[in-house]
Amino acid sequence: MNRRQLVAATGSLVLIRPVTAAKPRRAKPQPGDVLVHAFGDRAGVDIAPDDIDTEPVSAFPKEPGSGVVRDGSLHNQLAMVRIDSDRLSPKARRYAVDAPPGSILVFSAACTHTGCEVNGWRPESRHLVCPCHGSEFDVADAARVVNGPASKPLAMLRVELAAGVFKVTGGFSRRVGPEPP
Amino acid sequence: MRFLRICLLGALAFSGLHAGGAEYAAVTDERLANPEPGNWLMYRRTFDSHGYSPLDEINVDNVERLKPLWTFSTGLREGHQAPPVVNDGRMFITTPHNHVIALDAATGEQLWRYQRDLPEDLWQMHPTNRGVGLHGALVFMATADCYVVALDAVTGEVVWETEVEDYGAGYYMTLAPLVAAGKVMVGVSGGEFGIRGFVAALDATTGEPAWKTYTVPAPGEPGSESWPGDSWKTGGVPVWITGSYDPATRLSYWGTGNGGPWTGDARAGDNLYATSVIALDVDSGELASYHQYHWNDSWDWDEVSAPLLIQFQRAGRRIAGLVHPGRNGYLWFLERKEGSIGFVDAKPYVRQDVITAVDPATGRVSYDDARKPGIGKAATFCPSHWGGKDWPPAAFSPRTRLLYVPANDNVCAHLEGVEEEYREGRTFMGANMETFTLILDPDTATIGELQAWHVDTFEKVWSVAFKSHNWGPVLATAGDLVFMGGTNDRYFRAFDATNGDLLWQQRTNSGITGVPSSYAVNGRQYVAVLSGWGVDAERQQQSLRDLGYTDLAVPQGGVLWVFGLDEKR
Repeated sequence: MNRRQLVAATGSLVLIRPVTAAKPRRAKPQPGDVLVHAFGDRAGVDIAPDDIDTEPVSAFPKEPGSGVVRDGSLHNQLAMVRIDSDRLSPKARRYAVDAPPGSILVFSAACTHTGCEVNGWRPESRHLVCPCHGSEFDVADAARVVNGPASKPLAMLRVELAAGVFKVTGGFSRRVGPEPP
Repeated sequence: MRFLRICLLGALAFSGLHAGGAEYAAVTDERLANPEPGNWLMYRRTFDSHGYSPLDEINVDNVERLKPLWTFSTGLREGHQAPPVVNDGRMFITTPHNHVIALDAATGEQLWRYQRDLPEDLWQMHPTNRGVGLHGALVFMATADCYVVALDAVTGEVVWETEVEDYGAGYYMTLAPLVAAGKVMVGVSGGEFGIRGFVAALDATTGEPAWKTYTVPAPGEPGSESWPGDSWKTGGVPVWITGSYDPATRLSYWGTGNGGPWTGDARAGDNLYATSVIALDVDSGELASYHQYHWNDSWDWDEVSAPLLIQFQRAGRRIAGLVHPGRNGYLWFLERKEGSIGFVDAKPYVRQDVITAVDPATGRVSYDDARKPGIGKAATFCPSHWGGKDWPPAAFSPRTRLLYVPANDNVCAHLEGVEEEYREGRTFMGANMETFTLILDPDTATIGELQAWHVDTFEKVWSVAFKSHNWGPVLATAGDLVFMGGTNDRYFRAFDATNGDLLWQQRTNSGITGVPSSYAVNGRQYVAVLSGWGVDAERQQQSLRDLGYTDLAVPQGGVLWVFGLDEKR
C-alpha cells in the first residue's frame, strides 16, 4: 500500500496518502547539472552553444549521474537566450556565458507575476513575454520588467560552458516565480 | 526546548477550550439529505442543488432593515467564491490559496484557521476555492495541489489527507467536495493543461480511495470511438463544480467541461463525455447514464455546473427532471429515467448564433459551421467563451417555481485555433491568444442579467439587466427574496423573487463572486457572502476595459459579510 503514517506532535494520527512516489524530477537545479532541450524531438539532448540562435531555447537541468531530467516542475524550466555581449547590462554580464558570437543568458521561465510559463518572444526588442498577463522582460538588462503587471525580474541561473555543454554552477539569482500570497 | 514545550501545552489547552466549550453536531448522511432549516451543510445547501433556504425571517416586507452585523477579512486577494457553510452555529469558509477558516456563525469570532502549505512551484490558473464539505466531525477541502484534506471540525487539525492526482501534470481542484453515502467525491480542474478528467471518491472516514471514473473513455470503452488516435490521453473534460445527488437512486450528477485543446478539429468526434451531464453511482462510480449538451465543443463552453434536480410539469406530466442553464446559452430540461437521461426541451436564454437546431427527440444540436473555430480558422460566436452562464450557480425556489439564472448576454468572442504540442503540466489550449478577443456591438448597453424562468411553463417571467457583466452566484429564500452580487460595482443585492424588483442593496469592499448562504443561530436568520473579486470575473473585466466598455478597476481582497435584520428599530 502506497501509504505513510505520521504521528503528529499532538499525538493524533495523520494519514498522508500520496499516489506518486518520490519526485526527483521536481528537485531544483544542482551544481554540475547539464542543460538539455526541454521539448520536441530533441527533448533530453544536451544543448550546445550552436543550438541557440535568434530564438530562445527551452531547457531543463539534467543530473549527469542518473540521467534524470528535472522536468517535473515549471520552476526548473529555463529560457536560454543569445545576445550581443556589448548590449549586456553590468548585472546581466555577471550571469552571461561567453559563447561567440555573443553571450548566452539563462533565465527561469516562471513569471514573477502569477507564475505562468514565460514562452513569448519579441525578437526586435529581445524581450521575453509572459502570455498570461503580458509582462515583458528585457533580456539584456537581466530580465528587468519593462511592461505588464510583474514587478520583479525573472530569476537568472549561473552556468558555465564546459566541454561543449552548459553546466549549472550556482543557484538562481532570486526567488523563482511569484512571491507567496 | 523548554520554551517550545510550554508553547505546545498552551496551544493544546486553548484548543481544548474550544473542543470542550461547544459540542459539535456530527454530520450524518441523514442530516445531509434533510438539513435543518437553519443549517447550510454543503455547497448548495441540499443535494438537489437548489441553493434555497427555507428561512423566512428576512423577507420581502422587512428586507430594507437588513444591515451588516459583522465582517471578517481573509487577508487574501483573488477569487473568493466559497459559500459560508454552517453547522449548528459553526461556520466554515475557504479562500484562494486554500485556507479554511472556522468562525462562530453568530459573533464572527475566529475559532481556527488552516493554511495549506502549497508547493512553491504550483501555478494556479484559477486561484480560488469553492468551499468545504462536511461529514461526521470532519471538514473536507479539495486543494490546488490536488489533495483532499480532512480537518477536525473542532480544532482544525489535519486528520487525513490523500493525493488525488499529480499537480505537476496540470491537475488541480477548486470545487467543494460532494459528501454523500459516506464518501467524499471530487472532480479535477486542468482542462487547459491537457489532463484526462475524472471524478474520484474517497472514504469519508479514512480518506482511502474508493473509485475513480474518467470522463474520457480509454480505447475499447464505450464512447472511446468519439476520440481519434491518442487524443483521449490529453482530452481535458474537467469536472470543477460540485455534483448534485439523488439519494433515492444513489446517483450523483456532474457537469463536465469541454475537450482539449479548445477547437474541436484537434479531436474530431463527439468527444464523450465532454460538455455533458454524467450520472455516477456513488457506491461504485459506474457511469449510469449521460446526456451531452453539445458535441465536439470548439468554444470553451465547459458545462460544469451540475444540473438542479427539479420536479417539473410538461404537458400534464410530472417529470423528475434535470435543469441546466448551459454555458452554451441554452436552458436545458432533461428527464431522469431508469438507466438513461431523456431530453425534454431546450431553448436559448441569451443571444446564441452557433446552434441552428435542436433535435426534438434526442436534443442533439446542429451547428452553423461558420461559427465554429478551428486550427487556422477564425470564427466569431455568441455567447462568448464565458458563456450565457459560467460556473456561478443558479437557484430554484419551490415557492415561486422560478429558476433564477445569473446570465451574461450580448457578449460574443473571436477565436482561432493553432497547432500546439502537448507538454506535461503546461497550457494546452491550442488558441491563438494574439487574436482571441471579446466582441461587443457598439450599441451594447447591458451585459449581466438575473433571469427568472418558470420551470413548469418554460417561460421567462422576469429579468433584470446590469451594465456590468455578472459573476454572481444566486441564493433564493422562503422570504421570497433572491440575493446576488456579481457586478463590478461591488453591490450585493436582494430582489423580490416574484417580480425582480430591487428591494435592498449594500456596497461591499470588492466585487462579489462568492456563493451566498443563509442560516440561523438561536432563531435569528443571517445571510452571508464573501466579497472578493478575481479569476475570470477580473479577466472579463480586463477584456471589457480593453474594448472601452468600462474603465472600472475592481479592488481585490476578501471580506466575509454577514447580514441580519436591524433589531434596534
